[in-house]
Amino acid sequence: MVSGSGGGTWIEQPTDDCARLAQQTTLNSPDRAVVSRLQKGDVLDVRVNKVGKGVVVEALYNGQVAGSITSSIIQKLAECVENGYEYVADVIEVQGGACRIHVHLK
Amino acid sequence: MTVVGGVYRERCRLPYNSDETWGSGGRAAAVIAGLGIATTLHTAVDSETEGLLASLAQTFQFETVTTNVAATRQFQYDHALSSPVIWPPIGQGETVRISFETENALVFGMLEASVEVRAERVVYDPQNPVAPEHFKAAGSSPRIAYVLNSVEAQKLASIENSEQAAIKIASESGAEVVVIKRGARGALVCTKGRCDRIPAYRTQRIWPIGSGDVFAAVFAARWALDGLYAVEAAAQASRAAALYVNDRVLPIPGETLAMASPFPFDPVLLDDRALEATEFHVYLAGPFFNDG
Repeated sequence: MVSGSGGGTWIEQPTDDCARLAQQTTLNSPDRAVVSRLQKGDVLDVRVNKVGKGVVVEALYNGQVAGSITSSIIQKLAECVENGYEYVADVIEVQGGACRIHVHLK
Repeated sequence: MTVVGGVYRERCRLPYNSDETWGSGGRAAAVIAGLGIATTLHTAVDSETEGLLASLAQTFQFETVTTNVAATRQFQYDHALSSPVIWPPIGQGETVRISFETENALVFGMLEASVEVRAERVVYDPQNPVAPEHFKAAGSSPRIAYVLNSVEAQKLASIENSEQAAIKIASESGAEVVVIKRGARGALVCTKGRCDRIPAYRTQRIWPIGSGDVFAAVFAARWALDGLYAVEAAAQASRAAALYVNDRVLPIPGETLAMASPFPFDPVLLDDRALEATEFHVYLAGPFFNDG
């Protein structure tokens, strides 16, 4: 549901630099069994799989997929990973099946 | 199920800087595909967004048919209860034509496209609280259900009372079903001149951006594709919206939607007259300052 009207500009965040690329988001397609074991402060590995024109970006806990990352930075993140950068995701909050993370450079 | 709708970048400054690319079309396609239904999304995006949309389609397992536009719109919110700044603004930018034929379609009104759909069953969400328009069927008349919010219903029917507005919309459009989403008041489902009320749910957290898309998606899957009665389809849609509003997670787990399934939230059926006469919903939006 997106509605309304208006105009104006939006200040771009400095997300072009791979070293500063970071984003808070919620894990989608969560594996509930894995997410139930997560706690605030856990660090998840970030894995990028290139599939056709797109990428599937997953967060892993001890090698198991906890869920997918789908925020708007994933295309840039995939480019940066191709260029040798590595990223992780800090667990900020877990509530039920919802897990909020902060993705940033390793 | 075929979905046609916008894919937009949605940024929200609070409670933290979120930056997601969904729009009604993208979000609904993810929800319906997540229910295990083969789903194709028709939409219009710029070349920069095409790769991101391909990633969403791959992650949530739906197909896409895209038309290119110069700029994908951005919806920029200060917080989830604020009105968005839309860029490019409404009325600016090109309008493309999207045309297709299918069996079951979920059709969202789009800012950058006029849509021509030939289908047997259509669920239509005008997505336009400023100047909502009726669905224009191409070819023979399909079975139609309207899913719209209170403001859209009032404007489309020029009637303030939701039940009367729904009945007028059905009469004018030939819609078999009119569902009016009313936020905390739940939904009103009107068929053949009779309206039933569907409860909302008391969630622990509220993330309203996109909740209507989730509702429309589940209603379309259950009514148009699965053949459930409109009241039952809307009841499942209300559960789906509650889960999304609380967790902000996609897709929605389908096994929790049936009314016989355990559900984590209690239903709420607010009394319209009491609300209108003596009670008001007050949203408290920070920051608050202590000058003591």
